[in-house]
Amino acid sequence: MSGEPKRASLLIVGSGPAAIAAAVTFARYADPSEQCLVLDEMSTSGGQIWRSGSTNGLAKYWLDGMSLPNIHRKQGQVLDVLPQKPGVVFQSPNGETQICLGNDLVLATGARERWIPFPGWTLPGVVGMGGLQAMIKTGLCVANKRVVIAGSGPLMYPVARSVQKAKGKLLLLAEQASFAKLANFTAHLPAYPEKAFEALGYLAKLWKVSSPVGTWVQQAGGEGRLEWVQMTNGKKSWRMECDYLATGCHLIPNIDLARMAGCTIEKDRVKVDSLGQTSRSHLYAIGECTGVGGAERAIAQGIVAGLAAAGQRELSHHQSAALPRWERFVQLLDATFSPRSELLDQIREDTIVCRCEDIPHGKIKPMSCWREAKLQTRLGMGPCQGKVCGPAAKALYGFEPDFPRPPFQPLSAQALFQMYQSENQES
Amino acid sequence: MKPGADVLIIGAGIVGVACALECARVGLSTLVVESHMVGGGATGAGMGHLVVMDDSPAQIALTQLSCALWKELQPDLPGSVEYDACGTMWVAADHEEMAEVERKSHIYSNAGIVSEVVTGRKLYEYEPNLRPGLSGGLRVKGDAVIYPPTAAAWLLDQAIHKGSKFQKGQAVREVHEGGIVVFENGDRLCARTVVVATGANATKLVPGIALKPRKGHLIITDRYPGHIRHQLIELGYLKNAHQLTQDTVAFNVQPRRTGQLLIGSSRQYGALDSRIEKSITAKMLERAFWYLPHLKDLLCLRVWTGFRAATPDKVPLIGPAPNPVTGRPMEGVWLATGHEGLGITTSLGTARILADRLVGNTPSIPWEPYEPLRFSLQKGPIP
Repeated sequence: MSGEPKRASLLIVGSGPAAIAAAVTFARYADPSEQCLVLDEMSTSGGQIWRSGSTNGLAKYWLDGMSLPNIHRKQGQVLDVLPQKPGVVFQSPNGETQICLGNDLVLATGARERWIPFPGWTLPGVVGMGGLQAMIKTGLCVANKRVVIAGSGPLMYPVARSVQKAKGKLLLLAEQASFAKLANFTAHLPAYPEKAFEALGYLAKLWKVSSPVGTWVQQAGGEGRLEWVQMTNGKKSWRMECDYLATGCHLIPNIDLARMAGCTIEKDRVKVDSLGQTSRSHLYAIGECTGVGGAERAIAQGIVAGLAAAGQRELSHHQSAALPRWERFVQLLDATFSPRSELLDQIREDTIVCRCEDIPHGKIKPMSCWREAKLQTRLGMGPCQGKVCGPAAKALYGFEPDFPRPPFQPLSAQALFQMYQSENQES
Repeated sequence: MKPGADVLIIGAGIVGVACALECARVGLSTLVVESHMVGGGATGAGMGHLVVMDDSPAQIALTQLSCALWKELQPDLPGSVEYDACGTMWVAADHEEMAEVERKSHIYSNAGIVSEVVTGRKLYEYEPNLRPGLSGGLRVKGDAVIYPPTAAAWLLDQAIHKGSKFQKGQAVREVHEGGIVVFENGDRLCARTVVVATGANATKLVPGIALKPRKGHLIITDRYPGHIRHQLIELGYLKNAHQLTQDTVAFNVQPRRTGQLLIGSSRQYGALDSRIEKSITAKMLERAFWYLPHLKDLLCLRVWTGFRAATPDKVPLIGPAPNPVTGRPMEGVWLATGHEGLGITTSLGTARILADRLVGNTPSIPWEPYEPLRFSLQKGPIP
C-alpha cells in the first residue's frame, strides 16, 4: 500500500498549459536541488488543449521544457487535498495510494463544459464539444458524417477544425451569443493580438462553413438516436438532419479541489492574489480554475506562480504585471459567452436534467434547494455526483451545490479505505 | 395567546411528519413547522432499515409495533419510497455468536416475530458474497428497507391530505410553557400541545433533556444489484453499536432498491461537526471488507455523516418535556425525539403512542418506558 510520503519542493496538480509553465519556470529558476512533481490524470502532458499533440510553437516550447531533470511526473488521480499542509492523496493507475507533499502546492485543475439541458440532449449522437474532439482523437470516424456544432465560446472553433480535418461534413457552426455581444467582443480583441491572430487563423479555415450568431439549438430528435436538430435564432426555427451535434455553453472552472481545500471561491472561481496565491498559505491556483481565459493567460499565470514558488519574488512580481490584462479578457469571455435566457426557458417538463438518474425538469422544479432536490428526486446522486447536472441546476434553478468532498469520481472501496488510512497516518 | 392549533409539531423529519399524520388521523388540528426541508436532517442521512431490535423489552415493543404499522402502510407507499422487504440477516462469525443467534431467535419467537436460524451452507445460499468460514446467522424475513426522505415527504402529504398544515422556512428559536413557540423572526404561535421533534437538536429548545448527538458515517456505492440480498448486520452489533462511551464501528450493509449498497456503521459521541473522520471511516470499511471481501472492488460514490439523537437507555423520549429549570412537566410542550439509529422504524410507533396519549386513548403498548421524565435534568454543558 502506501509507503513513505513522496516529497517535492513544488507539487502541481494538473498538466495543462498553466501547470507546465509553472513546472518549467520553477525548474529553471529554483535551486537545481529542488524538485517539482506534476500529478496528472492523463498519460501525457498538455491538458485538454495540448494533449492532441497539436503543436504550435508555443505548445512545443513549453512541452519540451517538461523534460528538465528536476521535473517529475506521475500519472494518476488526486483523491483529496490534505487539510493542514500543502499535499494531496494520490492514486496511481495500479490502485496504490500515496501521500504527496510539497513546500508549495499548485492547483491547475482546468475547466469543464457547461451544459444547459434542452429537449433531446440525452440522445446518443449529442455530445459535448470537448467530448467530440476527444472522440475524434481516439478514433471516432466522422468522415462524411453530418455534424452540427452549436453552443458558445471559443472552444467551438478548434472542435470545428477537428471535424474538418477528420473529413466530417460540418453543416453548421452556430454561436448562441448575440451579434451585439460578439461585436463588443471583436472590438476588444485588438488588445489581445495573440487571440486575434488565433481567431483569424480559424476564420481563414472555416469561412466556408455556415456560421450564424445569435442562433441556438431548440431541440434534438430522432428514434433512439440523433436524427435532426431544431435550430432557432429567436425569430424563426428550422430543422436540420444530422448525425452528430456537438454542443456546450462555454466553460466553467473546476473548483472542487480548491473549495474542498478551503480556498476562498468568488464568482465560481478560485480567488487568487496577483502571484496566484489562494487564501490558503502555500497553496496556489492557476489557469482555468481561476477563470476561463485560454492558454496564453494560463501560461502567464504559471510563470508568475512558478517564479514565486522558486523564491524569485521580485521577478514574480514583475511578471505579474501581465495578468490584469488577462483578467479583463476572462471577464470579456464571461460576459460574451454567458448563456442567453432563452436557453433556460426552452426546457420542458419531461426534459432530463440529471442523466445519471434520469430525473426530468418537472420533478426538480418544485424543489427549494440542491439538497432537497437530491434527497427527494435523486438529482446529482449518480456516478457524476453533480458534475454535469450541478452547473445546469445552478443555471436553471439557482441551486448552490453541496460542499464538495471525496470521492470526486467513483472510487473503489479499497482505494477509499487506503485514502482514509494514509491521510490518517499523515495527520 | 389563543391556541392556533391542537398540535404544533416542530421539525419535518420522519418522526415529526409521522406524528402529524397520526394527530390528523385522530382528528386533531395539526401544524408542522420546518426551518429547512422535509427529511433534511437525520432522516436524510440515515439508512432506512425497518427492523425489530431486541436490546430491551421497551425497544422490542416499539420496533415491533412500528414494523407492523409500516407493513400496514406498505400497499399505499409510492414507488419513490423504495420499500423493499429484503429482511435482515444477523451474521454470526463464530460459535460464540452462534449461541447468540439461538438466544435472539428465542426472544423473537417469544415476541411473535418469525425468524430463521441459518447455519453453514444455507448462509451462503442466501448470501454468496459473505466471506467463507462464518458460522451462520439469524434471518428475520419481516424486516424491510425504505428510502427515508421520500417516505417522510409522503407521510407529510398524507397528513396534509387529512387536514394538517405545513409551514416551511422559519426556524423556531424558543418554546415556552403553555404551548408557545417563538420563531427566529420574533413571530409567535400557540398550540394546545407543541411537539418538539427536532432530533438531536431538541436540546436547543428544551435544554437539559437526556439527549446527546451521536455521529454516524455512511458510504454508498454504485449499482450492484444482487451483490447482497438482505440487510447484513454483524451479531456483535448490539455489543459494538451500543457501547455508550467509545467510538465504535459495526458491520452493517444494506442493499438499496436501486442496486446500490449502503455501507455502515459508525457511532461517536462528542463529535459535533459533520466532517468525515478518516480513522473511523477507514475502520468501518475494514470491518465491512472482513465480512464482504468483494466489497473492495465496488465503486463508491459518496460518503456522508449524520447525527442520531441518543438517550442513555436507547429508548426514545415520547411525552411531556421536563421544564429546564424545575424538571417538572412543561405545560403544553411534548417531546418526540431520542430515537438513536431507529427513528425511521420507530417513527410510526412513536406517532401512534403520542396521538393516543394526546386524545386520552390507552396506547396499544405500555407508554411509560418512553416517558421523558424518567430521566432527571442533565446539568451543565453537554459533553
